Amino acid sequence: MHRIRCPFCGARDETEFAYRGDATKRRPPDDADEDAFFDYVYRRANPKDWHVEWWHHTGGCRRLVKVVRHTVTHEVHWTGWPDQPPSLPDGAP
Amino acid sequence: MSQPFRLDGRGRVDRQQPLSFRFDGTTYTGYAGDTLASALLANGVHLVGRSFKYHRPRGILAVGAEEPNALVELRTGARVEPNTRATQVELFDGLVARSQNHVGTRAVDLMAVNQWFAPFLKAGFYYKTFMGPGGAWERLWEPIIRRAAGLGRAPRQPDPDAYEHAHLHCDVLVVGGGPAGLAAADAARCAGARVVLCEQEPRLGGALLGEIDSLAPWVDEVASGFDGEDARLLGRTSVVGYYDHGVLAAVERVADHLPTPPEGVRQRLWIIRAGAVVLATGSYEQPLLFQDNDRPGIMLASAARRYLLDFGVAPCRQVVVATATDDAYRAALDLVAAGVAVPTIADVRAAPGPFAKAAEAAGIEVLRGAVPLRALGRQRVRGLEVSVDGSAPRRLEGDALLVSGGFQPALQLASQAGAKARFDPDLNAFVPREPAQNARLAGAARGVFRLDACLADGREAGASAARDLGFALPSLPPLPAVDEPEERPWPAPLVPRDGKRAFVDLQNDVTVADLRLAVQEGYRAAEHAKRYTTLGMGTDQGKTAMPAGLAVLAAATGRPLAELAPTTMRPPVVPVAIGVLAGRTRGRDFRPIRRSALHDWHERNGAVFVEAGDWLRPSYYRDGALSLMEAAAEEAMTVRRAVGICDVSTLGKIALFGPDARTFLDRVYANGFAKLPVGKARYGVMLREDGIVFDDGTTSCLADDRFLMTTTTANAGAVLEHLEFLHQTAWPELDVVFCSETEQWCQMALAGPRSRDVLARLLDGVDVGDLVLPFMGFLEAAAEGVPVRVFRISFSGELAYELACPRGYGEGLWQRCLDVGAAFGIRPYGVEVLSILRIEKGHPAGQEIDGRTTAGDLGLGRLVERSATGVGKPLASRRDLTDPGRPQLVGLRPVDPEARLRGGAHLVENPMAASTATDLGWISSAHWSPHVGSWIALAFVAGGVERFGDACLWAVFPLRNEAVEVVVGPVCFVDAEGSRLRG
Amino acid sequence: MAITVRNGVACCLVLARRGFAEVTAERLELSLEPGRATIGAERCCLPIAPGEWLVLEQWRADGGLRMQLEGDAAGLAYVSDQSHGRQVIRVAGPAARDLLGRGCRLDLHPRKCRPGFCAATSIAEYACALVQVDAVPSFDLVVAAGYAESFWLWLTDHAAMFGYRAAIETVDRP
Repeated sequence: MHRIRCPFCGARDETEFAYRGDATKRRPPDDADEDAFFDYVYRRANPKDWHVEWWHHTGGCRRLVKVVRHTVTHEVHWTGWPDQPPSLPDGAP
Repeated sequence: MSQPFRLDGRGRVDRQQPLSFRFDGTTYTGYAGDTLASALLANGVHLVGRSFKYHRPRGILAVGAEEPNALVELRTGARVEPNTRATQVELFDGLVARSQNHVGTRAVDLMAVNQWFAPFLKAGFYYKTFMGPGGAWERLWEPIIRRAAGLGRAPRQPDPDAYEHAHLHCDVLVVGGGPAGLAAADAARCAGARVVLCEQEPRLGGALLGEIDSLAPWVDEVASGFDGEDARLLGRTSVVGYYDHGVLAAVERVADHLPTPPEGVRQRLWIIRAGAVVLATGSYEQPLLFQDNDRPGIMLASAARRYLLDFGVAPCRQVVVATATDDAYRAALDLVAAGVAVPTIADVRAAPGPFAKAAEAAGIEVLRGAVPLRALGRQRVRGLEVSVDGSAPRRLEGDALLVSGGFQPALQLASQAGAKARFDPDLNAFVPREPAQNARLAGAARGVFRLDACLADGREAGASAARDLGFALPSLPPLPAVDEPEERPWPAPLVPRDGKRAFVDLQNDVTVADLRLAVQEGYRAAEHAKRYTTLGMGTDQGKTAMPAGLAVLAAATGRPLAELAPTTMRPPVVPVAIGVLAGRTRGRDFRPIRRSALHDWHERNGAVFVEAGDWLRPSYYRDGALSLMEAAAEEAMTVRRAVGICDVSTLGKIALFGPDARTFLDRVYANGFAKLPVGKARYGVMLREDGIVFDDGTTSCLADDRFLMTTTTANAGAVLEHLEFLHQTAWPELDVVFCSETEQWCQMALAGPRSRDVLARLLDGVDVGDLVLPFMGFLEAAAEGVPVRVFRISFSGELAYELACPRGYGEGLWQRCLDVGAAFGIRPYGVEVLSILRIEKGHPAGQEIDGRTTAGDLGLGRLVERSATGVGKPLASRRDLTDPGRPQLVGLRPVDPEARLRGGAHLVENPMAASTATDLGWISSAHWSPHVGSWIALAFVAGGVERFGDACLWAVFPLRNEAVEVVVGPVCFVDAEGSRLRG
Repeated sequence: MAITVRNGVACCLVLARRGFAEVTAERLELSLEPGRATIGAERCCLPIAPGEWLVLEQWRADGGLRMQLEGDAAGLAYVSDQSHGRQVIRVAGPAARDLLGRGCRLDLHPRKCRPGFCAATSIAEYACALVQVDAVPSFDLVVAAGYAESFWLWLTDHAAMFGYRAAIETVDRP
C-alpha cells in the first residue's frame, strides 16, 4: 500500500486517494481541435520510470495532488499542488 | 503410561497444569506451555498425517512456523480449521485435532496407493497425463485428482468467531523477538523512538528458547520496557506482509490459545505504518536430501534440541544424527545428557568442528565424510544407511533421525521489502541484499549466526534505525556476555545421485527426481521449475526446501549455485485465516448502509428495500397480498391517474457558488447553461472527455452566483470528482467553489395530474400556478415554517414537482404531503415504479447511459448540438461516434402484449439464426406497463428510426430459450406531445 | 469510555473564493494551519482543505450560523449549510484512541495528536472529519447523516470490548 503525502493533509494511505493518471498532460483549450483532445485523452507514455501523476485526495481534502512516483519501485519522490512544477530526481527523463 | 517421552526436571512447560487433548480420537495429556507438536511427541506420536500427493506417512520436522509436514485439522464444528501447523498450536484443555489427507486411518491410508503410481504423478503430471480425450479432464480426471490430492477440508459452516482490523503507527517496528530483535527493540526504545515489537510465539526469546541458557533475566528486562503506548509488544503476532512505503500487516492470534474466544475477537489484523523496520526474523534450519528423507521421526536437530530443552520432550530412546553443521552436535550432547542414547553422528564433512571432541568424549561415534543414503522404516524411521567416503553402506539404527543441513536466513519479509537474495559462498546460504525500503536486517536473518554477534548486530540495527529518524542514543548497558566456540561452516546442500523419493519440498511432495525432470523438459530457470513442479508453492512457501531445491537445479543445469536466486516471495509469510482479512466487513457490516431521512417511515410502511450503491431505497410498498408486479402496477397507475410521492433524496446534489459558476456549468454540460435565468431549472447532459455520455440531471439557478446541480444517484460521487478534476487541473482561474449537499436535503417527487392540488394545499397561500411556477421553474417557500425548495421537473412525464427541505424536516414534510394529498388519492411509490414511469416516458437511465452511448445514440443529439463547446464535444464528433449506423434508442412493444421482454435480450431479424453477425441491437430496459397494457422496452437498434413500425424484429434471450416478436417505435409511450407535464 | 450522539450542532462549510483564503481566515478567526482547529467555547472551526473550513457551533436557529457566516464573509467566501447533513458523535475516554485506531488510519498517538488536532479522513469505510477537543481525550467525529446509523453500529460494535456508555445529547431545535 502506498503512503502519499498530501500537501495539505500530510501522509495518508493510498485508500484515501483516487488515481487520476498522467499529470504531464495538460487539457487543451476548449476550442482546440479533435487531434489535441485525442492526444490529451488517449496518448500516454506509460513509462517504466519516474512518472508525474494525479492523485485525487477524495478521502481527505478533495484536492488533486501532483505526485512524482516511480512506476517500478513505487517510490514517491515529490508531491505538490497542480500549479507547482514537479521536482524530478536526478537522471529522470 | 502417560507422556512416556517427557523428561523429569527438564523444559519450561508448567507441570502444575496438565491439559487433556484428543488427536484422532485418542485422549492424551500435555502441559500448559506445550504446543500440539510437543505434546504429541511427549506421548510418542510421530506419525501425524499423510502427504499431499503420495499420501506418504509424515511426522513432525520442525519446531516453528516453517513446519511443512505436521498439518492437522484443529477444533470441531463451525470452528474447524484445516492445515494448522501442529508446531504453532498452543495446547489448551480439551483441544481436538485430527490428522489429514487419508482415507481410512492415518496408519492405514487407502490412498497411499498413490505412491505406487508415483511414476504417473511426477512433475507437471497434470499438464500432460490427463490431456484428452475431449472432456475427460472435467468428467474423469479432475474429480479423481481432487479427491486424491490436496490438503485438509474447508469447514462447511459460517465462522462463528469475530475478527477485527486495527491500525498502528510507530517509529521503529522490530519483527522477531529473538536475541537480535530484542537487542534492536531495546536500543530503539532507549533512544526514545516509538517501538513496536512483534513476536509470533507466545514467549519472547526466539532461538534462545532452544538454548540451555535462554538469557531469561535479560529477556525479561528488555520485555519490561514494553508496556505502553510508546513501546508496544505484540505477542502471538506474525508479520505476514511487507508492503510499499513502510506499511506492514501482522496477524495477532488473540484467542487461538483458548478453547473458545471469551469475548471480543479471535484474531486481529494490524496494519502497521513504520518509519523504519528491523527484520530480525532469524533463520530456518534445513534438512538433508536422501532417499525416504520424509519418514516420521526425522526431525531437524535444532527442533529436537528445543523440544528437549524448552518442552522437556525426548524424541525417542535412541537417536541417529546426520549432519552438515556443528549445531547438531549440541543437540546430540544435550540428548546424551538427558539420557537419550546417541550412538553415532554421521557428519557429511571430512573435518567436523569444535564439538566433535566433546561428542567423542561423551561416547558418541563421529563418522566423518558420511553421506546419508536412505532412511529405514516406513511409518516410523528405524535408522539410516550411510556411506563413509564411498564405502559400502552402513546401517545406523535408531528410532529418530536428527538432520541438519545448514541454516538459511528467513528471507520472506526482506524479499517483500525489495531485497533480492544472493548466494554467500562462505556461509553457503542465500543472504538478502540491502532492502529497497527503510528496513534493516539483523542477526541470523542476514546470516549473522553466532549468538554474541547476533546480539550486537541487533543492537546496532535498532540504534541506527532510531538515529536515522533523529533520536539521540543514550549509552546502553552491556549486552549479556556469551561464550561460544568458533564453528566450522556447513557445505552447500549435497544432492544425492538417486533422486527418487528424496524429498526437497515435503509439503508439496516434490522430489529431487521431479526437479531433474523439469530441467530435462526445459524448465531451467528457478521460477519456471517452481511452477512446473510446485516447489515451494505450499502453505509453508518452501521454508525448508528453497536452498536444496536451488542446489538440485544448479547441479542439473551445470551452473554454480551462485548464479541462481530464490524465487519471489509474496505475502503472507505464514498462512492467514480468511476471516481475519475480512475483519468486521461481513454480514450486516459487509458495507456501510446509507439511509435517507425517510428510511424509518419507509420501514414502518411496508417498504421492500433495494440496494442502490450504499443506499437502501424502497423498491415498492407491500400492499396486502399483492405481488411486486401487482403492487407496482397499482402505484404506477396512481401516478398516472391521481398523484404519487417518491423519495428521491439519493440524487446527488452539488451546490455551486461564485461569479464563474455559470461559465463552469456551461463548460461541463454538453448543452448550454450560459443563459439559464434565476428561478429556472434546466436538464443537462454531461459527457466524458472522450465524448461518451457520463451523466444527466437538472441544474437550477438559485441566484446569479448560486446553482444547485443534481446528478443521478449512482454517479453522485463520480460527478463531483469529475468537476473537481476539471476545476483544479484545467480551469483553476474560474472563480467558483462547490461542494456536495446531498446529505443536507431530503427530496421527494410529487407526480401526477393532482400534484399541483397537493402542492397548493401544502404551501397554503403560495401561488403555484403555471405562470408563477411553469415547467422547469423553481421557487423557495415555506410549509408550516419548514423551508421548502420546489422544482417543477418531471421524470414520469406527468405534471410533477420535486420538493426539497433540510433533512431533519424530511419526514414531517413527507407526512404533510400524504395528509393533504389523501383527498386526492395520493400514495407513495418506490423505485420499481420510478423505473416503469421513466421507461413509459422514454427517459434514459443507467441502463441506457452505460458508458458506451453517445448523446446521439440516446436521441439527445439535437439538444447537445446547440452548444458549440463543452467537455467531450471535440471527441464526440469523431466519425465512429457519429456514424448513422450506430444503434439508436427506440421503444419496443411485443406483438403479443403479454409476451415478456427482458433487459439484455438481443434483437435479430431471424430468431432461428441469432448470432453476433446478425445482431441488430439489444434491449436495455423492459417492464410491464400498466398504462399501455403491454410489455414495453427501451432498446438500441441499428438504424433505429427507419425501422419504426417494422414488425420483423425478434427479441431473443437464449439463456431462457425465448424469442418474442417486437415492433419498433418512438421511445415515448405516454403523452408524446408533453401536454401532461406542461399542463 | 463514553460515546455520545451530539444533536443540535450547527455545521457549515465555509468555501473561500480563489485568492481570499487568508482574508477569510482573518475575518472569521479561522486557522490556516492544516490539522489545527480553533476551539472556542461555542464554536469549533476545522480547516479541512485549502480555503475550506468546517464550522461547528451549538445550534441557535435553523440557518442562523449560515447567515452569520455569510454576513461576516460577504464577498470573500460562500457558505454551505450542512447542519442537517452531518451528524456529530463524540468519543471520550482513555480508550478513545484505541477504539478509533480500529478504523482510523491516522496516527492518534499523543506525540502527534493533541487537543485541537483535526483531519478530514475516514474511519473504516466512513468519510469523517475528526477533531480532538480535549486531553481526556475526547474526539468529535463528523459523519454524513445518511451513514450515521451504520457508523454508530460500527463504533459501538468495536467499543464493546473496551466497555462504554452510550448517550444522546440534544439541544432542542428552536
